[in-house]
Amino acid sequence: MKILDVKDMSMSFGGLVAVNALSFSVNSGELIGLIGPNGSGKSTAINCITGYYTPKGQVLFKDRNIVGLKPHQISALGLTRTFQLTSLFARATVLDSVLTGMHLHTGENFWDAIAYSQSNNRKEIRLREKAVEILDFFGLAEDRDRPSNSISHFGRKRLGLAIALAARPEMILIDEVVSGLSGEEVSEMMEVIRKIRQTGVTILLVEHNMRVIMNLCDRVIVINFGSKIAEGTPADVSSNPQVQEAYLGTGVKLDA
Amino acid sequence: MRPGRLKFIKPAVLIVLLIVGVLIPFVTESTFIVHLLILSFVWAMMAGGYNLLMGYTGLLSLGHAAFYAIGAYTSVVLVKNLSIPWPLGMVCAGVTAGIIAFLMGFLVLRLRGVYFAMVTFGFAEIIRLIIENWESMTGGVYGIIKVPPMFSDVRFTYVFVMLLMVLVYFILYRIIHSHVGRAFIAIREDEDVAKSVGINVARYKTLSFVISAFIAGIAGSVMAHYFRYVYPDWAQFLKSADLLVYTVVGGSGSFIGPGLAATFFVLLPEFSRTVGHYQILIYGVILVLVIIFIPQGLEPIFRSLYNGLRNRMKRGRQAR
Repeated sequence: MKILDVKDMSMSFGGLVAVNALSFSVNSGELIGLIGPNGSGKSTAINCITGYYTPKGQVLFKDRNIVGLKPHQISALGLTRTFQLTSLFARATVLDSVLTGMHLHTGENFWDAIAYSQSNNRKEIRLREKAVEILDFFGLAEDRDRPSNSISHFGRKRLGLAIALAARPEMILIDEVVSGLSGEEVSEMMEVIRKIRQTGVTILLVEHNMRVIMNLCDRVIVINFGSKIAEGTPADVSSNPQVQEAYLGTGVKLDA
Repeated sequence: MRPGRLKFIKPAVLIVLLIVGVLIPFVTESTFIVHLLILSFVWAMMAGGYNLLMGYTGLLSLGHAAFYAIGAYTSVVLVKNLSIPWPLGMVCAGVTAGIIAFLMGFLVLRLRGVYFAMVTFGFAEIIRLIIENWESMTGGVYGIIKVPPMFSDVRFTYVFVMLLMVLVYFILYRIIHSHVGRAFIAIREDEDVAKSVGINVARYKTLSFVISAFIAGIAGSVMAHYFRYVYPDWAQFLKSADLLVYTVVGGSGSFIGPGLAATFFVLLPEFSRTVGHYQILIYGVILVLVIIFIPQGLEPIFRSLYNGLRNRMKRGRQAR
């Protein structure tokens, strides 16, 4: 069953066409890779799908066209994203950042927030327990009371995922999650992504790191100059000459 | 961690402070001290509301005195002309300021950073000009005098204003430590990430703006009935700048700092009256020193002083 269906999505800035009639779909439960050289339109595509830009064409999420919806509305439908940046909620603690991620699921309205009652306090305590569970899942429990900008780069990368997962999405778009990580950390991060997948979340992985793509993805979509140039299993696309040329220039072989 | 509890000051300490606070006007002979404390409570209350907007939500308003003046005039006009009781006038003051903030939020809260600040600055000047020129309603540049007082005994006014301030801080504390406060902080830290987890940024910005305007409106009403007059100058930029200074010096985004700084700055000119016009100079020097040497404001210093004091008391108890 298709959970995300992108149809003829185009986005241009002035005269520059960043995404050009891009079409692809993702089935529920899949882990799909989206790759392409620098400036190929990957980030723009993510911004279009999640409502930060308004593209031409259609983006169907659970059979509903979400083009024109605002990012917070799309997030409320169950499609969440992460960001390349690692600043996040810099001055909030790690625990508070995850609690912020749970915003859609607090079960409180504004007056509940003000009114001092046992049941509201219990709600808040349950929320905190949930948040701590999420921190455990990402191996961040020890850092819970530290400001999020004071933890390690690897920690911040995981926190970004934790915040997005706290919103309990059905599908998550992960934007370059291993950039700047050491080899060992990349392996750990791959484990984390596998674990996320096991919880049933559909994943679209936008990535530069070929090791991650080759090892994790069911299917890979390759874009260049905003258009799809190949699609298939990791093995298929890595042996595709057109992909090799676009991605690394001529005469270089991709290996996993 | 227990939510909904004051971490900075324990409830027992708070209750003792409250009782001492309530008793002050009944033991001191000096009406001057009572007067100063009333002023500092009102400004502490406003600084708290302003801090919610600037410190927690990250929106710089340079025209907050407009809401203070709107509150003052709303309440005065209603109480004087329609003879409604002043507590009702006070509520109307807050609601009017809140509604105007809500309407303004529609127009300007999509603006970021300096543009938002400039619009609020212009807005306050417009409000001041309207007040000055709408003579039939506001008395023009002469303002309105002989405003009905709150209580005939200033000590009751004192107790009322103090309890009002405590209530405002209690509500602010609850807001900040709820999902609403977390949404505000998320917007301050990164709007795009906030949106990605489903936070309706425009709505929460408006909410923060409305709450802080509501508090400023209430404060304006209290001040008008306490002083028993109101002037167009109440909307002037210097008053808005005062709030900004209190918040920055006290520690923008710290819970108790701006309120303490407001108290300090209200008391400072009274004690430094002998230096006359140099007051403003002292004011400026303090601001510059704080920004250069302690950009987080005075709150961390208050905190370590308080913790030091508490530890010393604990050790004293253990020694015995």
